[in-house]
Amino acid sequence: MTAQIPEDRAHVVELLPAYVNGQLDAASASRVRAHLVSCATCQVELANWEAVKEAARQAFAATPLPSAQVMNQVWERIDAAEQASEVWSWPLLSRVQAAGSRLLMSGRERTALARNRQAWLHAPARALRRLWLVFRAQIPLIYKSIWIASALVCLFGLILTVSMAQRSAETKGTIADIMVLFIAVVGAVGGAFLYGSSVDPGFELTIATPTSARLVMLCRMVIVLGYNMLLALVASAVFAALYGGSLWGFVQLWLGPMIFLASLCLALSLFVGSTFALLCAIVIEVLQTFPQRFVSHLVNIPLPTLDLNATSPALLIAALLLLAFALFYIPRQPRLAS
Amino acid sequence: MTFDRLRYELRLLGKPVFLTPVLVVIGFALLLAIANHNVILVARSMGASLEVLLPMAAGVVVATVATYDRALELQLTMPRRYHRTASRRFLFILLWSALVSLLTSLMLYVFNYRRLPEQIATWNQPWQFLTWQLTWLSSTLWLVALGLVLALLVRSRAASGALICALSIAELFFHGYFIDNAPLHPIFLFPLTFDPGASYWLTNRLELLVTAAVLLALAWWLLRLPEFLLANAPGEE
Repeated sequence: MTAQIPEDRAHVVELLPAYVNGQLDAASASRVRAHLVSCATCQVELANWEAVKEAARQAFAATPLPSAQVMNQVWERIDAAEQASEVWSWPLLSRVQAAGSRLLMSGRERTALARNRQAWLHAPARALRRLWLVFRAQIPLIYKSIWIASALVCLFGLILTVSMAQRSAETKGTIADIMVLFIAVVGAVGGAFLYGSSVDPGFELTIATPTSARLVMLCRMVIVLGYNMLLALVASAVFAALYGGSLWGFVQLWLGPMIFLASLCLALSLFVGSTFALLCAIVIEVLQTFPQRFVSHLVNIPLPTLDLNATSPALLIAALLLLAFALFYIPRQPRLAS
Repeated sequence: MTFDRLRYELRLLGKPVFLTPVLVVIGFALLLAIANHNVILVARSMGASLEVLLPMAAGVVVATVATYDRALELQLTMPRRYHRTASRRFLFILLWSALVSLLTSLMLYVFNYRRLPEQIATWNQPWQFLTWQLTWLSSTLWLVALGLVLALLVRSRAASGALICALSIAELFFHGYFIDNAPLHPIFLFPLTFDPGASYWLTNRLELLVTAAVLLALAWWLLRLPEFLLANAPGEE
């Protein structure tokens, strides 16, 4: 429409649409009016714009307005989409605030109330679904060496224990204790290399997400501990098949020590580092071997009270406390999201 | 230049790597002192830490840091060969561990809390002290070399560190089997702790040094293969 208009600063072509719609301020409007009196080109242009306005008005008048019902349906669809995306917004407070602000919107109170009620009803299911998604997402992110290390140590321990048991005069109980130590090392490795910038290539991305670091760490702990327990269970089954005895009885020997050393290593790896955590666990293991059977005359430490070769309530409580410390300590690490 | 490199390695490896041997010695001594008021027993037990704990700590540290270099690809593009850089890094760790062990042994020797193998008990003092250093030196070198080779072969910090720990625990538990079987003497790491009267002590120490040298040569060769170093997924060093 304005292609034929010369690019002359004196013309007011660019102001005409706003002039037609009455959107110009008084000064600009009077300038346009003054220019139109003497400019035939701009008069033609104004006539065109007025024609467009009239056509638009007639078209608008001919089209029926959507009813209130249609508007409600549209709002419901939009809100349903919002609810689906809310699966990722975890904090309860933000949901309440969002629900409150929606309630304030005029014309949508009933829809908002219904949606809010529905959201509250589905909250546990959504939370579980989200938990499952976070849990599942950790599997490829966990330091892959943990899988190899745990399997290797478990296999090494089993082969060594069985082969040495056949050649030496160790009793079944002693052999079981040795196997427990190897299984406890597996637990320690899992805890030491579980979380942190040195073992997670995508650590910066992880801490940049709004997902809680505590939740991430807890999910990883459950996955790795579950994997290690599965390995230990297989080793226990082999051991029980070879030497006889109750499988559950053997599981009780390593369950507590494994959880304790995994929690200890996790806490120490966050506090100092993975290598130091692993070493501390091994020092504890070594100390276990010294006073009980071999050189009690050399290292006279009252360590039998720290007996790691059985599952006891004290050991499990200590493991829980260490895990609680790790959970408490994690937010002290950098959080890009905050 | 050397000081700058040392500072760079210190920053790269982190203080925990250098604090680990010190913390192991001090922590073990404190534990012994708290649990036991008999000074002689504490001192003798510290001798065991010299032969068992410090070498194990050095082995685990090297095994867990050997392949951990986030700038590996960058290092491989440098005119300076990577195996030289890495060897210098391991040398720093080894020297630091040796220094801590030497100071510990010196203190035990000066205060006459040493536990000597019978084979060198009658030797003259300078030679006796120097030979006694093989107690920790041979075990440390052997475990460091093995940790290095395992780390380069398995390409996993966790696996190599855990295997060094598992091997040490196995030797501690089955020490009787190692003492009774002569073919296993060349790889028995803790003869002074479990068998101070052993007639094979010196031979064992020298055999460990020789096997450590072979393992170090193998590690040197593995470090010279860039394709081998880069064979695995990034971030899994």
